[in-house]
Amino acid sequence: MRPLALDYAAPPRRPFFAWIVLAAGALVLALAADGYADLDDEATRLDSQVDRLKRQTSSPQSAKGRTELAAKERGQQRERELLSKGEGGVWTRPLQAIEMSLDKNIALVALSQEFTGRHIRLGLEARNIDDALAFADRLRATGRFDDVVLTNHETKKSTGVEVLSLTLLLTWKAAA
Amino acid sequence: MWLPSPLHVALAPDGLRFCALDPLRRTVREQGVLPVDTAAAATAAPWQAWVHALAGWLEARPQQKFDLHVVLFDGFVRYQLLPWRPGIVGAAEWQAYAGHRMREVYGELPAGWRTLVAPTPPGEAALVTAIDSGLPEALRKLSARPPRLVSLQPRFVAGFNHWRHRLKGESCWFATVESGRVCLGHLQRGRWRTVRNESQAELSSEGLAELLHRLDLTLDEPAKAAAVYVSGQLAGKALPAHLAGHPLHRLQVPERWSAGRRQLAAARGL
Repeated sequence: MRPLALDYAAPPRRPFFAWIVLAAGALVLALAADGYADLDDEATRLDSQVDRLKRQTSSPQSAKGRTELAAKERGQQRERELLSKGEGGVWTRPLQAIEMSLDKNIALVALSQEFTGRHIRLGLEARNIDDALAFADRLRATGRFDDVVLTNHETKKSTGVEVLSLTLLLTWKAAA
Repeated sequence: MWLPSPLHVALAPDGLRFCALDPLRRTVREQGVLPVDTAAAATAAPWQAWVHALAGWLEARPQQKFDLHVVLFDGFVRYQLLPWRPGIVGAAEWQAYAGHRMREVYGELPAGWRTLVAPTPPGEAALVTAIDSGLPEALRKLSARPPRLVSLQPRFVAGFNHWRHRLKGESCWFATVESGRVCLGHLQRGRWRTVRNESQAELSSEGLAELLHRLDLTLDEPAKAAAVYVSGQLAGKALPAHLAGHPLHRLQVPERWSAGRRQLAAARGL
């Protein structure tokens, strides 16, 4: 129950805490408005930056750029079609061959494939060139590949240890 | 004496009840009931007799400073409930609206009556009181060295503000009774629904029951069974447990209170 503020000697006054709440509310409102203004400025700046970047990226992408992009998309589409037609079963056998050929002296750090050319590109790290060549020999011995080519190699330091970084390009056998 | 002493005064029908505390409000320095010349109370300003009694008491203590807290007998007060009007916003508009409602109910009030509207949240009815504006003026000019008037409240208002934490239930009645008068209000969820201030030659529990029964006819079902909280003394036998279908609760200062606190409560109209 609220008290009745009816006094003929003292006019009704708002309690002191009401003024504190009012002042605190005004302060919070001011801070919120300030924060909103800052964020609004930031959003405007980012919008203009996005517009500028869009203009920059759209202008050099002339006829050539758009053709390359379309060709890449077509290639990806072709890969998806080959996989859906059952070529995936052929693709798993080279992978199994690679898995079986790996040992503790060589590390597989990257793998990419190109279905249309039946190519697999392996990024590897080995202790020395002998281990790398032994791995290439094991791959050839599996009989799954038409070609195993060492495309490049270089010596580098990985976590303080000197290792040989190399790339092998494999061409797997077509399905019979 | 440097600090003023709080002086609580109740303008009651049986006389002027007073209680003067020491400046630190720890002990009662003086208390009692001053007799009032009731023949003089029949004049146009009936409160004059009480003011004269108080002035005489103050003149006998010219060296003392007092802070005066006054509670007014409900017979000196007009009560009214003001329905909410969304179009009225300013304090002056509320005062004009209150004056209009008072004239509707009581007829043309004598010039110089002062109305006060209790501040309420939007949408709620507001309680309005009116007293003779000569009374606060007279209390401010009581003697050559008048006390500072700190508070002047009608008894119903002072009683409600003191006892409001004891009122239970969504719907309840609150009443102040004293010889020959009852002031009764109904609250629903903390909102005032009705207020009635009536005089009865010899107010008894039967008289209060009759008033409740009349008011019940204008209110809804929850009000008809709501508890009634009564502050003050009824004439005749003690209060019954139920009155006109309402549970009855007596509001009074606890027996365990010291004599000083009880005297102070009497001077505060409780």
